[in-house]
Amino acid sequence: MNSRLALALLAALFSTAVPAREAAAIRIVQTSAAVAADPDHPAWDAAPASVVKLETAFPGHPSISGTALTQNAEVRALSTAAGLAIRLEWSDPVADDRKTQHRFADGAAIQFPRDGKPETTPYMGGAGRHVNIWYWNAAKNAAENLWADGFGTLTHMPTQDVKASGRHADGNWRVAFFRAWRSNEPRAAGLRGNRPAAFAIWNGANAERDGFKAVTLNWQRLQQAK
Amino acid sequence: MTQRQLAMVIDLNKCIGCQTCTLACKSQWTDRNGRDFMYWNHVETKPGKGYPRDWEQAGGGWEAGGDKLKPGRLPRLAEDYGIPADFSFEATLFQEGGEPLRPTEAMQWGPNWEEDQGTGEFPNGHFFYLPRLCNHCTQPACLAACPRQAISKREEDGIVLIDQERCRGYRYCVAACPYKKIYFNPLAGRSEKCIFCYPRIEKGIPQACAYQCVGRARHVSYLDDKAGAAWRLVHEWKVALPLHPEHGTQPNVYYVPPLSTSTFDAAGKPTGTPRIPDDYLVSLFGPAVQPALETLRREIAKKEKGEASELMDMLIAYKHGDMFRLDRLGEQKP
Repeated sequence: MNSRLALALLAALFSTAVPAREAAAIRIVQTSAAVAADPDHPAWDAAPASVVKLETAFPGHPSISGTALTQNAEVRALSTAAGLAIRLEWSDPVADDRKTQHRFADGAAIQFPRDGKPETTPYMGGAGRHVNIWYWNAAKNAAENLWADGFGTLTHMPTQDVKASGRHADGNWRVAFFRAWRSNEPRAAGLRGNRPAAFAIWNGANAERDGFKAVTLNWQRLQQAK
Repeated sequence: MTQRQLAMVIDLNKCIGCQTCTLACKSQWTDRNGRDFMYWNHVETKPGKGYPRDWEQAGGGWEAGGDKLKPGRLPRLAEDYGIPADFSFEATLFQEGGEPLRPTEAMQWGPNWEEDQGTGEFPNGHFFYLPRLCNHCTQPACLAACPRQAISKREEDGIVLIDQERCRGYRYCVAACPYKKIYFNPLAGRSEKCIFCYPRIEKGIPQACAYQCVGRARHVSYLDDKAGAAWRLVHEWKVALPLHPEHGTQPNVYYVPPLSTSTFDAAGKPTGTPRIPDDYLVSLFGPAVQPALETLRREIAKKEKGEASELMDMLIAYKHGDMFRLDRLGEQKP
């Protein structure tokens, strides 16, 4: 048993907040197609699906309570000439694509540590180690580029250069994100090479919003195909 | 506790339900950009379900002890607020046929849906008007409920504001407010509320709802200003009371409770029992409502006998300008 596994088992024994989970490796497959943020582009068929396990996020504030519904998502990644495309696919029988006074919209997000290092906490980052978050919301069906350095600090970036588009069919959401390799936003995460990434899904019908969400509790690994 | 607290006192014996305050607010702040359904200030008829419908059963506020928020639910547009319907002006005013003016879509509820309904059987039916707005509470449940610290309470006047840059429309504040006076704007994706007309207040001008009140029912002053109506009516005369104090938020809009005429017995003789039951007023304003009503009756009796009553003179408000004392610290008149 290696020391990391031992630590993980120890953590699982003494902590319910952060159970040990093997990080999924998500292979980034190169494509010559201009996939951009098209969730139905045929090029996605060439990318292997990695299933990431999701659990209810640590709430972080007394207002946030409940059990998030989504338990896993399939992640695919494509490396194109222009940039990186990532597609999330998950089961949700009903598309909540409107925000009304009492309803919430479905959502999805991908989080990267700005410095590309897994030592940055995946729980919205921390002081001096901020995270870059790509957030898609079904009500707008568009991406928002965000950064955070701890609970309650999520902030809209001045540069909005992330694209996202989702489609709901047969009880599943497919949402594709895309960003060019280079960003003019100083707080944006770099995308080249192997990268930690974390994922979150919100089910609007369950009033999931903010920190009430299903997340990968640990960083997952985006790996460039050899 | 902030350095100062601006407070409003609304005399329910003088409110005639004309909705001038409602329209003064609406035309100033909420007639556009997704706010059409919102009434930061409205006047509802009590007893009644109010606006949003059944807000008194929608939860929110603090548990006894004041360290934990009670759960609350989010009102719905059509069923609880009412859709901001268009009306058939074109057909009524410009076409033949004598069509009466009606909403062009079926409405289920609205901000003044139960106007003048009240309760009770003839000849003992009763109702009164209750103007409502954000209470700019001393212990705001909305502020505590926001995980993003998007809600703040200003030191200089205690006005509670939602930072529109920080708000992301999560609506914990809407659920937490026991008065349901925060509204989610679906167009903006953010929550909004009464701002106590702070841009006017900063210039020494009263809130639009208070200044436009034709019944001279609304007084505004800082609670620490002992020459101001708020301090005098709340602390000196103890006739102005917060609405639903049991929620623990310590509201800063206070109400002079309504007196009512006597009920009649089966023989048509007055019984001496007020038509608005004391129990109902206690359920709204707490047990302090009874001594407050006694004080009001006593002072009215003085006036009826031609004696002086400082309290009645203040509530009558002979001079409109006397109802408002908005001088900032260091600028106060004696």
